[in-house]
Amino acid sequence: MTPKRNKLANIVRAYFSRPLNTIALLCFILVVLLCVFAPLIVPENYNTIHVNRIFEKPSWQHIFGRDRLGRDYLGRVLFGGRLTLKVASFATVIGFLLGTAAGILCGYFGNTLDTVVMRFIETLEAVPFLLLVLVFEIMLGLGTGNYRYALGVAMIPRLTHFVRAEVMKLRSQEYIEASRSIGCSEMQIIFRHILNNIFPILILQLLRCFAEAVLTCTICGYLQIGFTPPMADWGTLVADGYHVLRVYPWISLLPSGSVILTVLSLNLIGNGLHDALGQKQ
Amino acid sequence: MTKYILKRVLLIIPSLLLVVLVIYSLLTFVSFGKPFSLSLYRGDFLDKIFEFFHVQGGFFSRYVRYCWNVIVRLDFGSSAQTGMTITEELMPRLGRTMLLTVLSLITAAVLGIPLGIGAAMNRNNWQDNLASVSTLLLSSVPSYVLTIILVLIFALYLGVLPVSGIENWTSYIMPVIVTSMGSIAETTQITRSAISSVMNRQYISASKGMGIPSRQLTYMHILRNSLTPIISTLARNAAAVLGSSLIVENFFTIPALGSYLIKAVNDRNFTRVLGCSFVIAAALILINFAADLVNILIDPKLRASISSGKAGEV
Repeated sequence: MTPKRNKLANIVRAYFSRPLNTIALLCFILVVLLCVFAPLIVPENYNTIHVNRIFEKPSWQHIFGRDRLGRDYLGRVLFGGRLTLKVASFATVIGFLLGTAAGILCGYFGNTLDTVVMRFIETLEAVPFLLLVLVFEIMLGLGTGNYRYALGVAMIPRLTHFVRAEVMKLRSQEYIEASRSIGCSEMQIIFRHILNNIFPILILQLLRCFAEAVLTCTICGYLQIGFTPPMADWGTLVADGYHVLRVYPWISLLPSGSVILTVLSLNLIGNGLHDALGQKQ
Repeated sequence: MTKYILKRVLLIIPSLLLVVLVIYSLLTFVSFGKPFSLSLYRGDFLDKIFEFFHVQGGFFSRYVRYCWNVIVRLDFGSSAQTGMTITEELMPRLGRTMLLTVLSLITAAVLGIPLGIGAAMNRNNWQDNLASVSTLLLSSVPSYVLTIILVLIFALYLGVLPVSGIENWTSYIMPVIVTSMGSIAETTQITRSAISSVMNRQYISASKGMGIPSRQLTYMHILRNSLTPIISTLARNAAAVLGSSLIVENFFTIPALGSYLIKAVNDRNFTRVLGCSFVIAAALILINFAADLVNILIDPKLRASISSGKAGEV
């Protein structure tokens, strides 16, 4: 076994040594699988309206009951989850790639590039999240989920600050200097040394970004920004149930529970991975 | 030192202008296009409207005029819907938003720091577990779910707090809890790690050996020396708290900047959106500036590096 694989095996072993980590990973996989295979699971189309069966209680046939238009609520929740996860992963990919790239470039090259980009990032930070979402919505069209770009862009500043600080720490290390002295190109240093060294913490940041994207995505849904009905993410479903909370509590509880389950399991995975990576050293 | 602060003060203006330029150009070129471009308005009537709302001239001259009016005369124009000036509409809302933000920050400090101290002092004890579990839960529960839970308990079942709106000071209790929950979690975590890193230093062991009482040791030596990262985190959090209070206002239908902004966008009210974003951006930039000042005040290392002219590297 190469030392590298050995290290990976150690991390994996350290991760699975705590049962809570395993449970969290299983929960997250379960949520993703349920959402991905939603079309195979739901008993009927989630958009079929049954006016005479509104707010039907959960039963064996329709385990989540029916909503205010008599639609099968299991389908609503699962397809809502599909939408939420889709938007969140899109935003995470955009924000993560741009933020990390900006952070590495600023941290590594410094000087004028650093000043200019960081000034831009600070300006971006000064645009509040809500305004950013609304601007993107108007810019690209309302109701088709264009706020996902805003979710991604909102992620960039924090990630850039974080990655930049890490890269700056690495830049002054001796082995970087050594590799430069033996004639490594800048690209080689960035990809072989810098990126390799910050890879573990990048994974942790990725998990955190995704968890945050799920939260912010559902917050937009709750504020009725995002998709036009009947498409609805988990946040919209919670908002729908808010008015009938005392009479039909499951309408709000089920999607809220799904959000909490997803984000909690992501955070637990992140914590577990953090500990597992820490034990290695 | 003074030079550095002066430089930062002067940098506020270009960042503000840049924020406004971005929003202004987005609103002009992309969404709103030509204001009053309804087919109802024709000919000289349209010209009169343009004159009234100062929308003549090219994009750049309008932008310069707008910035000039705002910065020199604090005049954001007037709303096309109510005829009131934007300043008149914004000021009470800005007050509510800032009150919510400041109260939430204080709550975060008051709750987060003791929780973090307790967690760091009693590692792997119930207090530590409580702190880590609560931070985990607070960062996993979406703010609207917390809102629903709080409303359910305190407004519907117990009936002690108002559900929404602003009546008296009790109306702020639930919004403050919801707004501050994220930074409570973060403050707790930072306090815990800052304190644990100071606790293992040799001078703490030495002080302990000298027989300094543990309470005095905790507050005078450990807390004082770990205060820098805690306060700088809190200061940096201020911007995030302002952002989240803009969102939480909507959950409780508080008439403040956040709900105003959403309504303005839905109404396609150019002047309102612009004035509101200007005020929010200005508040955020000022908050960040204040945070930097606080950092300089409490961190001697930072002060030294600024005096020696290496401010760019910290």
